[in-house]
Amino acid sequence: MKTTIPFRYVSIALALALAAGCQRGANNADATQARANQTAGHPAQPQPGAQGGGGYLAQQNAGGGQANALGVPGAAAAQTQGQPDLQAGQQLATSGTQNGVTACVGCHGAQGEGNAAGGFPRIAGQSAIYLGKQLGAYANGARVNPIMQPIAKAMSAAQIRDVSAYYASLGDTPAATPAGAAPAKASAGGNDRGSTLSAIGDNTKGVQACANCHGPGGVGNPPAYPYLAGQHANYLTAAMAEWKNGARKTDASGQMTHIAQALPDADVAALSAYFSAQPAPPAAAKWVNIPAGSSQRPAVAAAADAPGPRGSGGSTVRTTGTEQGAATTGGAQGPGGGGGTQGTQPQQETPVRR
Amino acid sequence: MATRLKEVDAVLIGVGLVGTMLGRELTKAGLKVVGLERGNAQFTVPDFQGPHMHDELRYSVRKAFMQDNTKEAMTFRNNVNQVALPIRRWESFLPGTGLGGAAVHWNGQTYRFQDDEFKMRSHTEQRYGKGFIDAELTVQDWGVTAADMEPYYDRFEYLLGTSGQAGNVKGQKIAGGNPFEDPRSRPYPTPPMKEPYGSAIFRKAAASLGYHPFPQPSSNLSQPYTNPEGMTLQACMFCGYCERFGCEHYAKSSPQTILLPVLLKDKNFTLRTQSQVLRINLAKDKKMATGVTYVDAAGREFEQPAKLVILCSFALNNVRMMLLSGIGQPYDPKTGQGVVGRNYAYQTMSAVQVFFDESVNINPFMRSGANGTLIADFVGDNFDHGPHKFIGGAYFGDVMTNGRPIEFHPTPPGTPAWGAKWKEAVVRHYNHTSVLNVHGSSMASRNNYLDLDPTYKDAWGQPLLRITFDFPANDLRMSAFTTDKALAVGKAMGGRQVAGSARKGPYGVTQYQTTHNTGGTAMGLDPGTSVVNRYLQSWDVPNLFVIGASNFPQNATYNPTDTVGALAYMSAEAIVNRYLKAPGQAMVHA
Repeated sequence: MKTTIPFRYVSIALALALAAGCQRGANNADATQARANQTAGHPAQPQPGAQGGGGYLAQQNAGGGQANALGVPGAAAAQTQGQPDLQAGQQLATSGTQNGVTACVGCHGAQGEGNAAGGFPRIAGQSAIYLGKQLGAYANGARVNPIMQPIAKAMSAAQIRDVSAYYASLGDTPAATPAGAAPAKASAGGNDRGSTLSAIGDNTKGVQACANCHGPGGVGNPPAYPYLAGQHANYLTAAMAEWKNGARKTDASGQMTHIAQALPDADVAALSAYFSAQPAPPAAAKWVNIPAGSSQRPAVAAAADAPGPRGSGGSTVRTTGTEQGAATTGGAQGPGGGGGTQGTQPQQETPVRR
Repeated sequence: MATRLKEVDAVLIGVGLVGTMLGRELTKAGLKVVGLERGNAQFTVPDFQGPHMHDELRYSVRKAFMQDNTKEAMTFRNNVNQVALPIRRWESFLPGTGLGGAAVHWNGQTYRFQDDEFKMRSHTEQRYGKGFIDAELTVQDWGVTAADMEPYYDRFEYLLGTSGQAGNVKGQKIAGGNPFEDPRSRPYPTPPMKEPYGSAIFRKAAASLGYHPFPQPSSNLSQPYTNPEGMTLQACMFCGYCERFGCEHYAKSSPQTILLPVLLKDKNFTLRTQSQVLRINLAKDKKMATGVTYVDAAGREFEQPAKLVILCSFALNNVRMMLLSGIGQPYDPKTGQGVVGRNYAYQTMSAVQVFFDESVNINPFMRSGANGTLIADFVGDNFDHGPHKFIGGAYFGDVMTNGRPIEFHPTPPGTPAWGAKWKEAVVRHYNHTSVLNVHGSSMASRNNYLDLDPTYKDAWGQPLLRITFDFPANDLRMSAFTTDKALAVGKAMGGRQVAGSARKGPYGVTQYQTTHNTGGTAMGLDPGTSVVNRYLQSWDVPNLFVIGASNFPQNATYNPTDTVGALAYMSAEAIVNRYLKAPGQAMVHA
């Protein structure tokens, strides 16, 4: 059990934490739906110009419309009200159910580490929302897979929620290394095609960097974007084929379909080798997630030799900034948002008259 | 000594949005074109990629994409009785630099101007009488109408792939769109963006008060789109890093994603970056341009002769280049004579903040530069100005663009500006605040103008541009009226606390308002009050075309980019179809 969290994870998670904290509360329907809509990019959401045009309000008023909010039952299930039951999730993972849900561990490994040779993905530490969304997509056909579809169809919303939360909580297992690791190691250095595509993309193909959404080195950006780092190469290659041939339709923006279609097989292979050679990130469930309004703060332990002041417990102390005397606060928002507001807006300078 | 290069058919001063469009139209017509860009070359890959593209300190606070004001600043004062000082740090507005120009770091808000705003003086006098416009205002007609501009707006929006909901197609009103818009020939190329939660609350509140909310037209696209030039854009990911940033997702319409790669493949086009144009050269009789003189990154001076000169840099720099080159009569505020630098206008901005209970989660970080909801009920002359004694108007709505960590910290009035109480308030309100932008028009005044600074010079020894500007009383009255209306909608949104106040003078350059600096090379029908004719051809030097927001005789209610693009296509068509058949001739006789 690590006691420190690398700063990059904390910084990425902070913005989410401020917002997402409330989603764990009791009255969380609107936050959850708003976020889920946006991240899932659900196409059935009423467009502003459409008749009725209620946007999120309409969905909220619909009440109990969680499944509609995500368009995939699994994703809704992952956000079903109430705390997930990790023990029930573990039970299902290890033993399956009597109505046809086979034990996850059979293919995905005892700790969710997956199986490189079989192309079964590592799912340990992947976010609960992502995992729930995939199970929902298998159930409703948005993602086609002969093995997973019958399993997902047999699962209840609560089971999807529980097993997703269970796997999200794992992650201190060894990263995926067997098979495929040996050749991949060579590409971990960072000068090959895979790392280039991951970090900056390819302008001639209109392909952006994977890092834009999946994080630097593919560490993931939960809850929406899965980690790719430490994932099995065979699975990544198969997943890209799914995007390319339309077997997977879980990205309403079309970005992944476009990218998979634009990249030749050799590039996909290079990317799969690159990501599979990266260390898997900590479990998504262990990312810092602080309730809004609380005084809780992440314990950011500075390196022993890092410069600067220390707070209690060794965390670095960061000061609130001003920029050349102008407070960087107020409602600064797009065009002129800071202009006419009261409160903390910077004082107007007195013009110099001579 | 300047090295004299081989003459080309046309030279572009600036390769931003307009430069790229003109480059494409002129090379397509067979011209050999050289594009001179003072900044660096930059492309979606590798320059705009994550995670470094989301470096808010570098790009937003420190303005990495903006004109280098250690080399080339501007000076500012409120009125002629003050001494202008250089703007050492861009805050009020952000002049872009580099390949693609300001269209790299824009928000993608893509509106057409209304017909009444193209006919600002004649329309106002007709409806409200001759004495209605304040005497200090030098408001005038553009010389074109919304109907004249429609084909060019249409072509430009289809280049961009703009996502929106039409409200009026060929006179047929369409529910859900802007009911006040002038007829468009066809719907937007792509459907509107998804509506964020705060915008949905605004929609409901505005409709309950009898207003007509509609989705903001966006050039961050709602779905993949291939434009007529064969360029394919992708769908927006709502990362909230649009304005001040380049788009890593190929989702924002910028020269790099809509046209530049096509232009760069054309053998007739040559791009030279890091090329600082010093002046437009004129023949001895000053009646024709002979080309431009520029300095490259190594400090070498070149003369680039050209048969045709297109001045298409940022609005303020267009005006400065005219003044540095001695083209046209500079405006003199004492006499009211002269045209270059006259009719400088801006935008009259204010904001309303709606602070909600913690149960209302706005999620401001899940935004795009242009995916809000607004109303046009108080735009231009969409309402009766008679009782209110001002001209112009404002749109307002929940059109938030981001929830970025350094700069988005809405706190209610009375919150300390720093310390533990401030931090508590930031945490409390970050996710529970909706900001309504009130985006108002800006009228030209005889007191506001641009000229060359008598004291301060740039790195090449040339005088800086001097801005003399304060808000005309008319615009402050407009802001008071429209901000009150926005406050009322804010209250109807159900916030626990609603804060906001109208724009008040004096204008200052230490706080961001907009980068909608307009005027200074106004277009028009009368050479006594304009710098270029309705085709954007210089009245004085017929082989010079000046294109950009500097052509606006005064600024309209909406954001300017759609009109700048439409003007560029309008002018390009006139050059290709008419000017080139009789080069060197004025297309409109004064």
